[in-house]
Amino acid sequence: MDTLYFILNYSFLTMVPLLLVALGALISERSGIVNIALEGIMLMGAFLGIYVISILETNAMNSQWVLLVGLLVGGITGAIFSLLHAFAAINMKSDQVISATAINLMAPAFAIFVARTILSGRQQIIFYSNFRISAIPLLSDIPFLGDIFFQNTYIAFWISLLVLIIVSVFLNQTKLGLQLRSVGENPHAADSLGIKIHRIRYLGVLTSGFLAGFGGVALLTMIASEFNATVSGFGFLALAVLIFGNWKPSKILLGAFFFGVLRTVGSVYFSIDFLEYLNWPEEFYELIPYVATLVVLVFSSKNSNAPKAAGQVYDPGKR
Amino acid sequence: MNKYLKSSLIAIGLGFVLAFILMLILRPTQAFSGMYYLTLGSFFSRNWTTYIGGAITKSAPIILTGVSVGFAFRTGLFNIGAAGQALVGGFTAIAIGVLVPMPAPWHWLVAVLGAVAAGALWGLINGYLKAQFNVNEVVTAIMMNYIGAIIVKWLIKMPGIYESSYTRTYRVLGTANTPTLGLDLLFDGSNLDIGIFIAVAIATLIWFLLNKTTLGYELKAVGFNKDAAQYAGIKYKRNVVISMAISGAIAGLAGAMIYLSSSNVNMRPYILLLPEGYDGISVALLAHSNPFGAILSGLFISYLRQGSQLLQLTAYDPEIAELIIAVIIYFSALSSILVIYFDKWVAKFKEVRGKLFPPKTPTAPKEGK
Amino acid sequence: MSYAIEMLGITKRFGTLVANDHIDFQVETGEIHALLGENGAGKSTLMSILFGLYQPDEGHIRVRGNEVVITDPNVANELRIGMVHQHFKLVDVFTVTQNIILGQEPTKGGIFVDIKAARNRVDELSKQYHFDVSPDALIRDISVGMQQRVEILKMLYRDADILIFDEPTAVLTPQEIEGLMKIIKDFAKHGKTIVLISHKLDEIMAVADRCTVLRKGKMIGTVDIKDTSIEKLAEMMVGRKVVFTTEKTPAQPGAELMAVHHMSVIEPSTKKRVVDDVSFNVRKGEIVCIAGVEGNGQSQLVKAIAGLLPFESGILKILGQDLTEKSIRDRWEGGLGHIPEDRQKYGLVLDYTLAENMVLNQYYYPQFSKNGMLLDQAAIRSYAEAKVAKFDVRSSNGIEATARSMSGGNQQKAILAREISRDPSVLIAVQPTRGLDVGAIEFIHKNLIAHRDAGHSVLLVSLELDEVMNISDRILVMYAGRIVADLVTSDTSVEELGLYMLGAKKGGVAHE
Repeated sequence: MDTLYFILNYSFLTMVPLLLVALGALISERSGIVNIALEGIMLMGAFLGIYVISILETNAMNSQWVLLVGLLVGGITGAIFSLLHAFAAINMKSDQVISATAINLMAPAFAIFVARTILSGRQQIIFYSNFRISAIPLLSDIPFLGDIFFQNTYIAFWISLLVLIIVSVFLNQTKLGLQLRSVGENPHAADSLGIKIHRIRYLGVLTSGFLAGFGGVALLTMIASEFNATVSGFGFLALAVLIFGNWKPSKILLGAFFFGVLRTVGSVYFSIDFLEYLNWPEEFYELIPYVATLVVLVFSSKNSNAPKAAGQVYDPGKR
Repeated sequence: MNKYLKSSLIAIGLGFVLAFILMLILRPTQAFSGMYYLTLGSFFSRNWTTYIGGAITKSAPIILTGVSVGFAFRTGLFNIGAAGQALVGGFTAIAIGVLVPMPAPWHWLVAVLGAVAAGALWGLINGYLKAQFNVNEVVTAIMMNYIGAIIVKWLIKMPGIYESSYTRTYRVLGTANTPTLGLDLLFDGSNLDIGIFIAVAIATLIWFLLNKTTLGYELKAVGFNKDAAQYAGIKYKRNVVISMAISGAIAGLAGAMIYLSSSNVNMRPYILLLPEGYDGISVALLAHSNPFGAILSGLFISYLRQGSQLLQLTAYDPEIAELIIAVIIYFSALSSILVIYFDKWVAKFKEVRGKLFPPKTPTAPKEGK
Repeated sequence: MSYAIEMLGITKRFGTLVANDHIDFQVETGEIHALLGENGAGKSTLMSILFGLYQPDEGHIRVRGNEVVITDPNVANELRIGMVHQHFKLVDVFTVTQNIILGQEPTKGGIFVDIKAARNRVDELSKQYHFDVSPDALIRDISVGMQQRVEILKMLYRDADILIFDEPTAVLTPQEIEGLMKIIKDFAKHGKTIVLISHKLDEIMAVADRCTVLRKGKMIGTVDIKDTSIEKLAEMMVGRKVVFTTEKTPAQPGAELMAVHHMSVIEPSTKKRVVDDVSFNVRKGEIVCIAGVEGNGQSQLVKAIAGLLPFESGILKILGQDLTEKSIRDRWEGGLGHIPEDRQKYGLVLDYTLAENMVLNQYYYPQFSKNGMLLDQAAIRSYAEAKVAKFDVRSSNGIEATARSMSGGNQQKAILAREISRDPSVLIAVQPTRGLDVGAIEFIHKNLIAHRDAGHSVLLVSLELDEVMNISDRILVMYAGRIVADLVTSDTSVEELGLYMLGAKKGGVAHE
C-alpha cells in the first residue's frame, strides 16, 4: 500500500511541470503560434531560477519563500526568453518550427556559457533545500486522500491546479479569452473586427514562456536535486500532453497525470516486487514514457481539435 | 548576390558582432585577441595542420547530418531525428567493427552499410508514423531519439562489445577504420580521413537526386503541396516514408563517420543525444537546406569550434563558440526579413552619405578672381 | 444632396501594381450605390481602404461631411461603417452569437463575457429584420445563406449605418438572391446607405440607384441606373463592346465516353453521404454541365471521379474501361483531364516553376524522362515553351517563373494549357472561370468548345448560370447529392434551372 501511495504521490509531482508547460503551450497555440521551444525555455527558466534559489538559500529566508521567488524568477526568465520566438514568428514571419528549434539550440549553449562564466568553470548548480512540505496540518489526517495529497507535497502542485482553473476560465468565459481563440482559429476574421492580432499573439507566447520557465524550476526542485543543463525532454513531453489532451484543459490534466504515472513507474520499478521479479533490464523502464508517448500520439492525431490557424504565418494581404 | 547566401552572411556577421560585444562586456582587454583566436588563430598557429585537419575531420559528420536534415526540409519534412539516426547508425558500425572481423577494406564497407541501414530504419519509422497516422514528425522524432539512445545504451553492454573495466566499448578493429589514404600525414597531427570526400560526394548525390530525377520531382512536390501531388497521382504516403528513410540513411552514415574514425571514438553506457545530430539542424538552417551550402556551413561551424579551443589561451570560456553558433542560427531563421531590413539599411546609409558628402559635380568656371 | 461617403483622389499601390489610381468615389446618403468592375479592377481594394484594412497612399476620405482617417476596422466601426465580405470572416467553431459579438463583447465586470445579454441582443436584431438565425448554432453547421445573414447581423449589431456588400450573391441561389435584394432595399428605405460591389450587371440594374464603374484601377464614370443599360455598363466596364453569347455550333453527340453508375460518396469529415446514387454519362462531342448551388455534392462528385475521394459505391467507366478501383494515375492515363476547383491547392505546385507545373502529371512519360528516372529537362522546357506560347500564358519570367508569382488568370490558363494539351477524352473543368476577367473567360470558353469539337467531351461544373446556359449542351442539376434534372440547354431557362437548384422541382429528363 505504501508503494501505491508513493507512486500516486510522485506521479502527481511529476504531473506538475507537464501540466504547467502544456497549459502554456495551449494558450500559445490557441493564439495561433506553435511553440516547440518550450524545452529550451524551460531550461533557461530553470537555470536562472535555480541559481537564484542557490543564492537565497544561504540567507535565512523561509524556504517556501525562497522557492516562490525561484519559481517567479524562472517564469519571468522564461517569458523574456520566449520573446525571441515571439519576435521571430510574429514580426519576422519566420517559420515557427524553425525559430523554435533555433531557440532550443540556443538555450543550452547560453545556459552553459553563462553558468561557467559566473561559476568559474562549473556548470552544475546544486541547491540544498528540500522544499517538501511534509504535512499540511489537519488536511493530512484525512484517510487515503490525506496520504496522497496533503503529505509530502509541494506548493507548486497547488499552484499548478490553480493555474489550470485560471486558464480554463480564461479561455472559455472571458472576453480576452474569446478574442484569443478567434485569433488562433481565423485571424482574418479577428482582424476585420479590430482585434489586434500581434498583441494577442505576444500575450500567448509570453504566457507560454512564463509557464514553461515556472515549470522548469518546479521540475528541478521537485524531482531533481541539481541543475545540469537539461530538462530531460519534459518540454517535448508537454507538447505530447497537449496533443493527447486534444487542446482541452480538463483532458490535459488527465494526460499530464497519465504521463506522470508512466514516468514514475519507470523510475521506481525496483521497489515494486512484481516487477523486480521479472528482472527486465533498467532500460526497458526508461523506455516506457517515450514509447507510451508515441503510442498515445498515434491514437490522438486523428481527430485533432487543434486551432485552425496555428502554425501559419498571418498575412493580412491574403484574402 | 544570391539572396540566401546574403542572408547567411548577414546572420554570420551579426553573430560575430554580438560575440564581440559580449567579449567586450566580460573582459574588455582580451576582446580583440579573443576574436582573433576564434577566427584566424587556427590558420596562423604553429600546429595549423592539426587544427585545420581537425576542423575538416569533424566537419564531415555534421555536413552529412546537415544534408540529411536539409534533404528532409526540401521534401516538406522536419528531420529532427538525425541525432537518433546517427546514433543507431554509429552503434551498428561499432558492433560490426568489433564483432565481425573481416579483411580491410570490406570490413569498413560492411560497417558503413550497416550504419546506413540502421539509420534508414530509424528514419523510416518516423516517416511511417507521419504518413499513416499523421503524427507530428517533430515530436515523434524526439521520442525516437530518446528511444534510440536508451536502446543503444542497453546494447552497448552486450558481451563482446563492452570493455567493462573502462566502461566503454572496445576499439573498433583497425580493418574497420575509415581509410585515411595518407591524409593524416598531409595534415600532420590530425586524424583526417576520406570522410570529408564521402560527405561531399553524398551532398552532390543528394543535389542530383533532388534536381535531376523523377523521384526528386515527386518528393519535392509532396513536400511543397501534398494536395497537388495527390492530384497528380503521386503517392503521398510512399514518398514521405522514402524521404525519411533516405534522410535517416544519410544520418546513419554520419554516425559511421564519427565512430569508425581512426581516432577511435567509443561509446559509453549513458543516454547520449548525439550533438552532431542537432548540429545537422544548424548546418541545414544556415545553408537554407542546400546540399552544397551544407558543405560550406559544416566546414564553417567546425572551424569555429576549432577556433574556440584556442580561446583557452585567453580567459574566455570555449563554450562561447556554441553560443555564437546558436545566435547565428537564430538569425538565419529570421533570414528573409533580415535581408529586406539589411537592404533598407544599406539604402538609407547611402542616402545619408550622399547628403553629407555630395558628389562634386563639374561647375562652370568661376567668374572673376 | 448630402454625401455619406466621399473618397477623393484615392491611390493605393502594392509594389509596382497600382490598384487604385486617383479614384473619386461619392455615395449619397440613403442610396444604393453599385461599384462595378471586372476582377482586379480595384473595387475590393477601394472598399478595404474605406473599411480600414488598408491605408491609401494618396487621397483623403470624408464620412458624413467630416474629414476622417480610417486606420483600422475599429475606426470604421465607430464611424458606423460595416462590411459584409465576399469570403466570410467567420470562426467556424464559434456560435452565431460569439461571431457577432466578437470584438465588442458585452461584459460582466469588464472581464467575463455576458452571454445572456449577448444572446438577447442577437435575438432582438434577428427578429427586427426577420432573419431567423438561431443564436447558439455553430457556424460550421449552418448553411451558406444563413452564414451571410450572420455577417449582416455583425454589422447591425454595431449600429452600422453605411453598409458595404462585397459580391454578396456569388454563393446564393436565384431565389436567395431575390431575398437579399429585398433586404437591401429594406435597409435603404430605413435610411441606411448601401454600397454594393458587384460584377453582376443584371443585379445592379435591378436594385441600384447609381453605379460607379472602375477599370484597371481608374474611375471610368458614375451613372444613374435609370439612364443606362446593361450593354452600356458592360462597355464601360470592359472598354469595348462585349459579346454576351459565345459562338458555337450545336452539339452532335456521339459515342459514350464516360459513364457513372450509381455512385455514392461519403464526406470523410462529416461522415454524411454527399453524393447519393448518381448516374449519368458524357458523350463524344458534347459539353455537359453539372449545375447547382455550392455545397450540393458537385465538388465531391468530381473529386471522386478524379480519384481524390473514394467511392462508397458505384462504378466509373471511361472509354469502356472500368476505373472504379484504379489509382489516380491510371485515370489520367485512361483518358481523364481535370481542371480543379481550387487551382492553388490541387492544380499547381506554387513553388515549382511554370515549366515544372506543365508536366505535373506527365513528368515520368518517356518524352520527358530517360528510363522514367532521370528528368529530361531540355524536353520539358521546350514543351513548356510551346504550350505557353500557344495558350498565351503570361508570367514575370517566362517558363522559369514560379507559379506563385503568376496572376490567377494566368495560373488558370496554365492549368488549362496542360490539361487540354494532353488530349483527354473527358475533360472535367470545375469553375474554370471563377475570379477571371471577361477576356480570360472568353478565352477559356473558346478552348473548351474547341476541345469538344475536336472529338472529345467536357464535363463542366459551374455556379455561374450565365456560363451554364452559354456553353453547355446538356445540363444536370444536382440537389442534395442527387441529380434532379437532365436537360437539354436549349430547351430550358434560367428560372427553371433555379427551381431545380432549390429542390423545388424534380425529375426533368432530357429527350434522348
